[in-house]
Amino acid sequence: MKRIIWDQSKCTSCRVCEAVCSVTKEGEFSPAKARGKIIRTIENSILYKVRVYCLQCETPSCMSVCPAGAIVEDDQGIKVVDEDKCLGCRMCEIACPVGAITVNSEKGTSIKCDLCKGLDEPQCVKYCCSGALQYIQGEKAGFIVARAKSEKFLELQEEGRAK
Amino acid sequence: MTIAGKMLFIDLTNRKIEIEPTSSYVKDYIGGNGIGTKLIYDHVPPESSGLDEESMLTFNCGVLTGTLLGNKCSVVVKSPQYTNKSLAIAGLGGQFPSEMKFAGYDSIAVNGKAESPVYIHIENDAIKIKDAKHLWGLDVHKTQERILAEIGDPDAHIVCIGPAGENLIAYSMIVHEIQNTAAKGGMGAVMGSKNLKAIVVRGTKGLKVANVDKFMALFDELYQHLTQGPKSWMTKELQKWGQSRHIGQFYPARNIQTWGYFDSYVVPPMKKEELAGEFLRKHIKGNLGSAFCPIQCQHNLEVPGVGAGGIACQCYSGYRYFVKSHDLKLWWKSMMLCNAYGIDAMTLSGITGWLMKLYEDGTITAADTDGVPMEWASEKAVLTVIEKVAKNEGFGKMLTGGIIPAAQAIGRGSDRIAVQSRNMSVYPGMVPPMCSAAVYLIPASQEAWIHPPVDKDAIFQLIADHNNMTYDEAEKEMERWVSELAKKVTGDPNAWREDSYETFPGYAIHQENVISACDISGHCDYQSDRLVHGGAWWDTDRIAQAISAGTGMDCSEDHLLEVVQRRRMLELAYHELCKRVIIEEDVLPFRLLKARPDGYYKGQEVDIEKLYQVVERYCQIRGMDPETMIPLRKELVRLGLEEVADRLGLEPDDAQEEVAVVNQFPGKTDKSHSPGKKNHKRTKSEVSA
Repeated sequence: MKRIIWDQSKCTSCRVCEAVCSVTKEGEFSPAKARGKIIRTIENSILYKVRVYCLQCETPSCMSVCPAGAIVEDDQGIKVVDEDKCLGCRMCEIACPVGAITVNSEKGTSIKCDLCKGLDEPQCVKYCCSGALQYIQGEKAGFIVARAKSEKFLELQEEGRAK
Repeated sequence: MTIAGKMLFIDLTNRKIEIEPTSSYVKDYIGGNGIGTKLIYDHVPPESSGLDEESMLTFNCGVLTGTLLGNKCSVVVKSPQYTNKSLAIAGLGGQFPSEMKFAGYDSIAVNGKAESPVYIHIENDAIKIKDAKHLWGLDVHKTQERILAEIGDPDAHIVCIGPAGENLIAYSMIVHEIQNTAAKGGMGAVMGSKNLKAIVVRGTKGLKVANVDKFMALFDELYQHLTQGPKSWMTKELQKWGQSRHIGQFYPARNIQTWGYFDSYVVPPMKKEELAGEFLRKHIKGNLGSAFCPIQCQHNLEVPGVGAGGIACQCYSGYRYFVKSHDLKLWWKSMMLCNAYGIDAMTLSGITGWLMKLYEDGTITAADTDGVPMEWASEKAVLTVIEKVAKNEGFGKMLTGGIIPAAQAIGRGSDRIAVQSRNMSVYPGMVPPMCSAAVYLIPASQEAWIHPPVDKDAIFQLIADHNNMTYDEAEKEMERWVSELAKKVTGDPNAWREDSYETFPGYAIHQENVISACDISGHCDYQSDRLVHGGAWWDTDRIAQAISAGTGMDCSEDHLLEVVQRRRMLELAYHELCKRVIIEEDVLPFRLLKARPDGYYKGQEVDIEKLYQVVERYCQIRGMDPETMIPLRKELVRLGLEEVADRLGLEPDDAQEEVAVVNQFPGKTDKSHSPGKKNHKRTKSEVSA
């Protein structure tokens, strides 16, 4: 199964992923309804950012606590919300370890990333200008993350040498 | 639809809050600076100084702000800075404008004056005016920190002022987050005069798109353009380097710029530690920019021993070229200090450079500046000016109104060497002859400096760099891009060139129009074809299509251009009304009109007669009387602004015959009368004196 990986060092925190997500899923621009959010914090004039989105856990807490059995794994292994079954009870919101699921208060059902099921690729990845978001086959994802970190390592080593 | 639907009016004197539907303004003015101009025209009497209870502070989002095709708002006020105290527009990006829309507001307009310092807290439909006595005096960063902690919502977004705005400095600014500012026109002072320290917004609503498929097709087209092909160099450059290489390195390298107060235009190559790009690479923490813009052209830097902050654009020039310093640590220190105090660094660095020039010439001595000698590149001089001005102390008091009032106080011809237009610093990056043409448009055109592709010589180096071209190839490529547009909008492929006095006004007007269209929609004009020499191509046709797809209203390009023209006419009418009651003569930047002693433009003199033609032609195309620079009655009537014509006292049988249509090819001009006589009484000898 493919999954989305996010490289913090490349992310420019433009939030295009948020906008693309909500317009794709809801036909409107609304960060509140975006499945993936960029959480920004400014401290002493430095911007820190974290992208919060469904990481497609191997053992999803949201699935185990859902009293209605509304979170299901589809034929491709993607964990999705069955809106017909969802009660909007927010148990999943409490259980999710990363904060990637919430309730659309207008529809009264849970919303989370389903990797843009039905489209060629997740739209956030398609429009990620900095290349921070990638859509990668599971086994390869680990290598991509490792490579990104190794580049930082080489850079620091180089700077050390220059000194 | 992508219009939020409501306008918020807050009267601080009476603590009255009113909501009006945006719809009544949309037909004639659509949004953004269109609505902002109308608000100021309607609500602020021309007699207002900009700093009294009658003045109004307005934040106006574009109709697409909050979407993938819009991210800014236009802050519009009656300016306490510009000569004639006329209308000023500053673009503000970041997260605040989109948050305003998500809270349900297209515009926020504040008038009156609170009894004591307050801030406004907006959370969707809940609006509160809160005490800000404990925040008064704090810098912009501490103010935001304290407010976020106080309201307990780290996701709220804030615009605020620092001590400079509180002290009513005529070029103080409004700041949002780290580095987003509404810097020109004295917005901070307008806010300070209302005892308003900050506006906090939190919104959780959405903006529904009328035609999602069409809208996303337009975004996709823009996105492909920004990321693929030779024209995408700008995205890559801005994302990685911002303007650090463009302005911070290549400007001086090409030694063709107006160059602030330097006497020579030949600049020795800079050392590695003087290159702004290297400085950025060394200290970068990440990107900054406006919500939902893929480029994020601004940068977050942390410099050991000085501190962290954000930087963009023109700011790479001011505290270097104006004060003749290549010390990047001093530059960063000055920028951070100006930002924290909430003061426009471009204007203040210009004033500092001017003081240094006066000191060098012997016009002033250290005694005039509280014992601090205004020596070139002096850290003490630079930092003292910032402290004294922001706190309104000592000789800083003389400088709080800007360069022109200060020059009037000093006298001794000090106004004639000031590099300014309408009491604002002129960007030290203009090609001299074109700059002069633009200078002559100043009385007619507020935004004179943006007209021509002033930075073309620095840009083609970057085009070459990104596309593996030689300089010559890149220059040809750039010229092809600009010529195509120039031909399309004026009929003359050379209209953009420095010596195209005949057709340049048409090209200038096109640039004004596309910027205004961007403001109205909320799109950043950096992606518009006003930067066609950089490969940008977002045009009025696509803006109109995007407005239609987003809002669901039928907005053709013609309709958009008519709205742009209506807004411009209203702005020009307001200039005239202000000019009649507040008599402040514009002073031309004579220094920029002199022939260059050396460098690329050596010996080229400005042809004053030809410059008169530029103004005349501009007026003809815009629909103004070239003699008086007042909009023609019949043009106002065509736009449904008969009331404006009456207010201006224009006779119904106005004798003017020519009213050209915007974007029409400017043909031969009638030279039977001298253009702009009433505004331009300068002679050639006066200019070269």
